[in-house]
Parts: sequence; C-alpha cells; structure tokens
Amino acid sequence: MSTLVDLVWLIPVFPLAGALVLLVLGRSLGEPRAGWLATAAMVGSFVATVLVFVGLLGYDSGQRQQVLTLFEWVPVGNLAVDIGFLVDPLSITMALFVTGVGALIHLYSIGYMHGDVGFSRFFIYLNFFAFSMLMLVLGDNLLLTFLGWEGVGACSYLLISFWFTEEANASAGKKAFVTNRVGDWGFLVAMFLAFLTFGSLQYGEMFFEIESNGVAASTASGIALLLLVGAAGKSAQFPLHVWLPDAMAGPTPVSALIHAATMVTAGVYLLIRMNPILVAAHGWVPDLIMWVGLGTALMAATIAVAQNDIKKVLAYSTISQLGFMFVAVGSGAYVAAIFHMVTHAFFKALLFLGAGSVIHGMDGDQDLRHYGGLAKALPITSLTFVVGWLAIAGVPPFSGFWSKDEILAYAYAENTLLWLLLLATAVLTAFYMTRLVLMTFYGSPRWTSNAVSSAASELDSVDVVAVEPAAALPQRHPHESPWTMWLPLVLLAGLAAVAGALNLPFSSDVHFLEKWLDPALYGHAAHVPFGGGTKWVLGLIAIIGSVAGVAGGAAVYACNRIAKERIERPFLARAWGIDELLSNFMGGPGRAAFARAAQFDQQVVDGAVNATGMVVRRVGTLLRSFQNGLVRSYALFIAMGALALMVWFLTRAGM
Amino acid sequence: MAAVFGQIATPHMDWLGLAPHMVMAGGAVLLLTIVSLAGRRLPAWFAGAWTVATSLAVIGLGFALWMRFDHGAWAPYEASDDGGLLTAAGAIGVGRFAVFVIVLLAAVVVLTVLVADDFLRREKLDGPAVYVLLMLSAAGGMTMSAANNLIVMFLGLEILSLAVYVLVAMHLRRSSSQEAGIKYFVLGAFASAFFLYGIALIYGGTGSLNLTEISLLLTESSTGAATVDKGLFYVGMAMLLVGFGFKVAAVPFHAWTPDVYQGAPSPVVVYMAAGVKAAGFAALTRVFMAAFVQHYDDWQPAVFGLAVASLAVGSLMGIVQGDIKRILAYSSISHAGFILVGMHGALGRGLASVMFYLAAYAAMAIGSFAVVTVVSGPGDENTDIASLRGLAVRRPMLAGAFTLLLLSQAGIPFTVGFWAKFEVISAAADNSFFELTVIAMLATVVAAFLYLRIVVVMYLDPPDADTPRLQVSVGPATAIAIVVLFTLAFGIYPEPLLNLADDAFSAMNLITQ
Repeated sequence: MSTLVDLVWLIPVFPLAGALVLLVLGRSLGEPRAGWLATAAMVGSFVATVLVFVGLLGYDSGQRQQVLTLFEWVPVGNLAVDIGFLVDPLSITMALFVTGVGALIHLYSIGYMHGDVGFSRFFIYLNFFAFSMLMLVLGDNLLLTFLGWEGVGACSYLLISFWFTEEANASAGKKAFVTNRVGDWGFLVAMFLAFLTFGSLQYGEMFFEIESNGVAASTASGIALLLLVGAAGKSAQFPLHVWLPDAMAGPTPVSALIHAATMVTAGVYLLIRMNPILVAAHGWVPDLIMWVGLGTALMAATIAVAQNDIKKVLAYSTISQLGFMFVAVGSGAYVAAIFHMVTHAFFKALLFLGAGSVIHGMDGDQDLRHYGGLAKALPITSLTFVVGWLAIAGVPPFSGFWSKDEILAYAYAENTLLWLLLLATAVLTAFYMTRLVLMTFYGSPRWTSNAVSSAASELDSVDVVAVEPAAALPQRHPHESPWTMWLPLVLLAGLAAVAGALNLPFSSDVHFLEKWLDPALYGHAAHVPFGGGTKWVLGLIAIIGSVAGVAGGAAVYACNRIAKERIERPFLARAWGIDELLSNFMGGPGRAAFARAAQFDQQVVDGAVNATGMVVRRVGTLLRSFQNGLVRSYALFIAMGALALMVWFLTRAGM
Repeated sequence: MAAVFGQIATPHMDWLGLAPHMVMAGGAVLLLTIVSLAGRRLPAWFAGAWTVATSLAVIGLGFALWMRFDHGAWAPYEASDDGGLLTAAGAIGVGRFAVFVIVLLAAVVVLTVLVADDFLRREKLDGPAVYVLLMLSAAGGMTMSAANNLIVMFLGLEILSLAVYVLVAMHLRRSSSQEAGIKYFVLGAFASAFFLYGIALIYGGTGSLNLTEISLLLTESSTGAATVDKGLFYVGMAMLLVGFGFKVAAVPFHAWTPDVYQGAPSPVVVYMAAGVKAAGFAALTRVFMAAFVQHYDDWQPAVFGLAVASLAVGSLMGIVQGDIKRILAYSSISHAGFILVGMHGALGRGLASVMFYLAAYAAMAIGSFAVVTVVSGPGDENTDIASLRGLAVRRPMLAGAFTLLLLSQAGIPFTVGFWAKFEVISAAADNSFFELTVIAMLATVVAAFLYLRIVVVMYLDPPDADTPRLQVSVGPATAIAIVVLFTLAFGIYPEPLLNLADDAFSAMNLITQ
C-alpha cells in the first residue's frame, strides 16, 4: 500500500538538490536568485513534510511508526546499515519545525545577506545544513543520525566562520568544532557500545531487543551517559556550552536557525529518541541529566543578565532554555521537552531574527548600550520582538508560558528544590529579556549625536568590556528592514503567540502533542502525579514569577530604581570565568602534556614511520636493479617463475 | 548433394550468444573494407564513430544476452544436445560471466576510442588501422571469456595479443614505441609457447580440451572411474598459469609491463591496462574454476605466491619510479596482486569480487591513463612526474579528476576502488586466509604512498614558468568525466555493481555443473 508517508525521501532530497544545484550554478545565478532557489527548496521540503504528516495521520495511533528503507548502505559482516527513514510522530514533529522555521529563515536571509560577496555560498551551506539536520531526525539508525550529526556540525563550523577573514570569527568556528568533537566522541563510543550490546544500530531493532530480552542496567547506563556527553556537546550544556556564545560570530540568520531553533536541539532529540535506554538505565542517570540541565539553565540565565551584546544575551538565553529541556528529559517529561523545543524554536528564531533586523538597521552594531528608543524607527521589528519577549518570559497566553509551565510542573513532581531553582531561572529569564527589550526599543536613543552627552555619562560603567567613547559613534539612520525580512518575523510572531495551543493543560482532550507523540515514547513518558488543583497553583506561581521578573527588569531599566551595576556583575559578564579557566588550564598543565605527546609523536611514531619508508625505498631500489630493460633478463624471470610453479605442482602431484 | 549435407552433423549454434564476437570482429573487417573502398572521401571522424557504434551495438547485445537469463529462458541451451550452457559443440559457453566481460570490454573500447581519436590526430597517426586492431583485439578477448575449449581459448588469446603487439609499436616516430612493441612481442611469444605447451600436456594428461569434460574427468578420476596422468596434467596447469600470469602482469611474469607501458602510445596503454588485463583474468578464472576446480587446493597456494609477489613488487617498485607511466604500470601490477587475492578465495565469494575489481580497475585505469595522454603533450613524451607540477593551478578540473581516480586506486572510501579492495580482502578473510589479508592491507598502505606522491606533485609544486597551456579536448574530457562519475557513483552506492558481479559469478557456477 502506498501512502503519502512514502514521500518521506523527498524531505531531505529537496535541500540536498538545492545545495548541489547552487554548488554548480550558484555564482552564475547570483543574487538574489540563488537565495530564492534555496528558499524554494526549503518550501518544497516543508510541503513534503506536511504531506507525510497527513499521511501519518491516516494510520492508527499504534501504527504510526513506519520504516522506509531506500537501500542497504553498508553490508559488512553482521553489521547491516540501511539508508532508511523512520517516520514516526517524533521525527515528523522535528521535521515540521525544522523545515518550517528553516524556510522562513531562508527567506529572511535573502534580505539579510544582501550585498554579501559570499551570497550564494551562504545558501549552499544553509541548504546543506537543512539536509543534514533532516537526515539526523529522519534516519532510522544511529549511524545515519550520526552522519547528519556530523553534517550539521560541519555546516555550523562553516557558517560560524563564514566571514573567515576576521581572526575572531575563524577561531570561534574552531572553538565550536573542537568542543563538539568532545561530544561526538561520546556519541561514537555510545554507538559502538550499542552495537556490541544489541547487534544492531537500528532504533526499532534495538528497542525491540530491550523490550523482549531486556538489557543490563549498567550497560544501559553506560550508553546513556555517553549519549549525554554527545548531547551536551551539541546542545551546549555545561561544561561543553562554551562554544555557543562564540558561535554568534556567524551571520544572524545562522544564529537563529542553527544555534537556536534546530541544531542545538539535536542533543535533546537524541536523548528522547533513545528513551528506552534512559528508562532501562540506573535511576541516577536521568537525575544527572536533570541536574546538568538545571545547572546550565541557572548559570546561563545569570550570565545573560550581564551581557551587552544583543546576540550574546540571546545565546545565553538559548543555553538556558536548552537546560530547561534537559530538565524535562531527565524527569521523564519527554512530551514537555518536545513541546518546549517547538515553542522555543518559534520564539527564539523570532528573537534572533528580530535582533538581526535591529543589527541590520543599526549598520552592524550589536551593542545594547548603543541602542535605545528604536521602537519608532523599527515598528514591525519591535512589535514582533515584544511578542517573542512575552513568550520567552512566560506570560500567558503566549506559547512559552505553556511549555515552561509544564516543565515546572514535572520538576515539582520530581523534587521541590529543583522546582524552586528552575522557577528562579524562569524569573531571571523574564528579567534579562525585559532588560534587553527596554534597552533596545525604549528609553532615550543612545545613537543620535544629540544623545551623545547623555549616553556618555551612562556609559561610564564598571563593565570589563571596554566601551568606545560615545563621541566616536557614527551618525546612524535606523530603518525598517525589507519585506523578505519582516514577513518571517510576523509569521513567527503569530506562531510564538499561539503555539501553546499544541498542548494545553486543561483537560486530557487538549493534550494534542502528548497523544500525538505517544507511539514514539513507548509509554515511557512520565505523567504528572497530582491533580488539577496543584497544577493551577503551580501555574499561578509561575505567572507571578514571570510578572515579577518583568517588573524587576522594568524597575531597573525603565525607572532606574536600582543601579544596574549592582546586578550586572563583572563575574557574570565574564560568564563565570569558565573560558579563562579553560584557557588557563590548556595554556599551563594542558600545554605541557600536549608538548610531551607531540614529542612522543615526533620521535617514536614518526621515527617508526620514517624508518619504514626508508626500508621500503631501499628494497625498491634493490629490486630496481633487476629491471634492466633487457629482454633476456625478463625471459629469465619468466622461465624461473615457470620452473618454480612446475616444481610446486609436481610436489603436489607427489612426484 | 542435399542428402550428403544432411548427413554431416552440424552442431547446434546459439547465434545470439555468438553475436557479440561476430559483430565486433565483423565490424573490424567491414571498417577495413569500407575505408579501402571509399578512401579519402570519408570524414576524419568516421573510423572512430564506427568503432564506437559497433561497441555500443555489442553492449546492447550484451544486455539482451544478460536479460534472457532473467526469465529462466535457457531455451537456446536446453535445445542443444550438449546440455547446459554450451554451444558450438561445447566449444563456447556464453553465460552471464562471459556477458559481463564482453560488455566490460566493449565499454573499454568505447572509452579508448574517445581518448585515442584526439591523440591520433595530434600525433598525425590517424587512419583506420588502429581502430581495426582495437576491435579485433577486443573480439579476441571476448572469445577468451566465453571459450569452453582450450584451443578456442588459445585462439582468442592470440587474436587479442597480436593486435596489441602492433598497437604498441604503432607510433612511427618514437623508437621507444617500436622497442616496446618488439619487447612485448618476443616475451609474449615466449609466454604463448608455455601456454600452448601447457594445453598439449593437459590434453596428454586428461585426453580432452573441453573445460567441462576436463572437470568431469577430474571428478571421475578421484573415484577411479577415469584415469588422469597426474604428472602431465599438473605440469600443464603450471604452464597455463605462466601464460595467463604474463597477460595479467603478475610477478614474476610482469617485467615487460613498465617498459611496454612507458614505450607504448598512451591510448594503447588505456586499452592494455583495462581491456587486456580484464580478458586475461576472465580467461584465468574461467579455466581454473570451470576445469580445474577439483584441484583448487593445489593451485590455490600457487595463486597465493603470485598474489603476494605482485603486491610486494608492484607497491615497492612503484615508489622508486620517476615516470608516471611506469608508476601506473607498477600500480597495475599491484592491482593484479589484489585481483589474485580475490581469485585465491574463489571458492567463497572471491569470484564475484574479481568481477567487481575488474570493472572498478578498468574505470580507474582508463581515467588515469587518459589523463596521462592529455598531459604527455605533442610527441607523447612528457610522462615524467615533473610534468604534473602545478597541474592543480593549470588545469584544476583535470587535477581534481586525476586525484579522485588516484584516491580510488589507493582504496579511499566513497570511491569504487575502496569497495573493490574491500571485497577481495573480505573474500580472503572469509576463507580465514588472514596472512593474505594482512599482506594485502600492508600493500594498500604502501601503495597509498605511491598515489599520494602524484597528488602532492600536482597540488603542492608550483608550475614551471615555461609550461605551455595544456589542451584538453572533448574526447578525453568525456572519457574522464564518465569514469569519474562511475568511480563516485559506485563508490557511494556500490550495490548494483556488486549485484551484477554476484550474478556473473553464479552464472559461472552453473557452467561448472
């Protein structure tokens, strides 16, 4: 029976074809046609995903796990890896927002990348990224997922250092790459261990094996921990989070697509995909995931309070929100994690694109202290940004409230301390986002020449970041962006406002997402163990927390009730000094160890290699003397060879 | 008179099965006739186009032949009295094994023409003779792949070889070309003598020249139902191995290879490396698997020795060469070693790996020598490795294609060469011949140096200031593009080709029954 689900192969093929066509024709297509082609590929992919989604709805809930194998890819001994797609609610949910948000961000990039020399190169990377990400979520085995995992990593590297002529961008790319390698190591070893244990890398077969024969808790714990290392690298969790803030060196649409909405959620996706392993592991493994998430969320939120680069604030906010998702995964609330992943994709993409629009209007300036009062100049951007702000701050009825509230509810069910700390993080989130919005769009402008004197006094701060003298600010004319840029903003704002309706908590009838995802979770998803009353109270407290955060932000940055220096501590601005700690370690004892290793490599390893090479050369030269060009010598070789063969065969004949 | 004819027993002829050979050889003769009648009135491209058309027709016939096994349609064979697959009184057997080789050879001819056409005009050697010889040689190779009789096999071998001797000596203004021709001819005659003597001894030992009958006799002799003179038979087997070893350039019968490859016109080397080697290996596997499979345990160690010697000498000697054609000649010797590794495991899945390797190697060799043809320039003289300096700057596409082909020869993943090596090595590992596996792996590592050295010269050395601009014309460019596509496509997704090789292998099995 053929159904719409059979079209799944089209989903990754569209962006792949886009990337390949652009690779060949990109330059001759030029701007803006290269961008339109890439966007069309993404729209095609999105339409294909919607069709597959409709097709999947046609199945009974219990059968919504379809595996479509294109071909056998690596048949090696008893390892058989297929190029196959797993179409289930989880993968299609991911694919829907990857292609949907991706298409919007492609469209946005046409405006944003206007006039860049690398215009078509940018879209090649972007399309190839989309292809890799879709392989990651749609692959029906760990190896295919890993292939996509590495693909998105490579694209992330290429896009972070897109403007590679600047040293800082190039080294930010390297940092992301190296940090991710640590995580990839975890993924790889987890994969080996999984193959050793289950004899297969296919999700269905692995989970069937667990269900029918069970798996030792210690083995499952090992695999889960290694997967956590991988997930922490990709999803920027402590202590592997250091690359994400630097990754903001890339063009802003990249930050929105890769470093906020899609790629960084891959770690969360992987953990949820492998949920039977997490369930089979020792109890402390999910707890560890939970606490890693909490620690990251809280730490990143405090850092975000003290950042002055608009994109850095959003980057730390992303790390913090990913921490929320890890808390949800650790407490078994897989649906809540996915729910938050989807709403976060909408509002964080919106916020990043809005920030991009501001940066675009401000001729590339990213410093919050040079903004202020931009709401008038950028009406659409500011309006949509406010929607994103309310969503992430957790103000009902915007989407962020619903998904965050659900995670908080599960956290409460798990542990009161956890809940309290997470609530504090939510308050902080509301606070730093309010700060961002007020400093950018409201208050007096700090970018006009007549604002110089007032700005100068404001800028005498204790910040460690050296601030250029305000007088040096060039004359600016902030302007609204072209329609290709604001249309995605409006659409995303709409989604960020209403996406909460995906999974409303009121009655089990409106748990749409939970019911939809059920087949992919094998009934492993946790359920809130308390009734409606407690839920209402928790929800109310969350609302109060959000409002308190917003009010606090307003008190500091609108009414100036409290000196902001008391909040924006240098320690926080330096991101808890983790980067310095790392570079001090690497520069000191780390460097000494590397030097030792390098010496060993040069003397022992290279020595052995060079000696082999020398021996090979000697033997080659020796043999060469037999190759003297004379027919008689060659005939002699033949005769001697023939003689040897005859002697051999005669001995075999027993003569 | 009609009654008399009726009394002569004419054997059943499977004309469709014989068609590829006849079209190829007939095409050659017809071309000669047409050219000698029409002479100068024909356009310059006529002979080349004729050859391509003939070869494409053969490929088409090959597909038809391949397909008739699909529906269990063995009708032409079942109708024959010989039983099984054979026709022409048991002298020929066109199974999928032969069809695989026939299509491969025809494809090699097409690509060789693409490379040669431009070369011949550049060197002012144009004329139909080259194409006639090329087609005749290929027809001989096809006969070898389908022969079920040792004399027919010998005829095929000689048709194949004689044409190549002339082709090697074809470049009239280069003495090295003529020297190579004479060298190849003298040594080839020497090896043919061994081969023919081997046939005589086998006949003396078993009383038959028919491969199927020999196989049957050997089986019966193990139960005492037939008598075989073991001494004669074994020496005969050794001598056949000498003859084949010479054709496929296995050590120690390889010594002609670097000298002849270096001296011969480059497009001829394209054909020799891809076509002659494929035909030689097809005949070798056919004789030793169809007829001598009973004595697998006896000849397998000999093949082991040849394989190890070829791997070692090919890889080691390739490193100390300074001429691209000599480097590639030693590389072809080491590839022969790899194919022998597959042959060594022929009772397992080794034979399929041999078929796969032949197709993969043909593509890599055609592409590499096509690049050499382009680079060697007027006079076909610039074959020193220094002539590749800075090719990446001068001709980035050409350098890229050559790099890919070299990486494929080195067996880097995502190229067809990787799967070829992977298949033969795993065939050896499947049979638990781990020492051979280890040697093959080591040879891969050493050979990688050989290929990377060329890549380094192309990319890291700056071009010489006075290097004239390289002309890359459409023919060689097309040929290179085709093999690069082949290398990449089957490198990423090898399964269709693996399946074809498997089918060819199982059809071979049917002959032996």
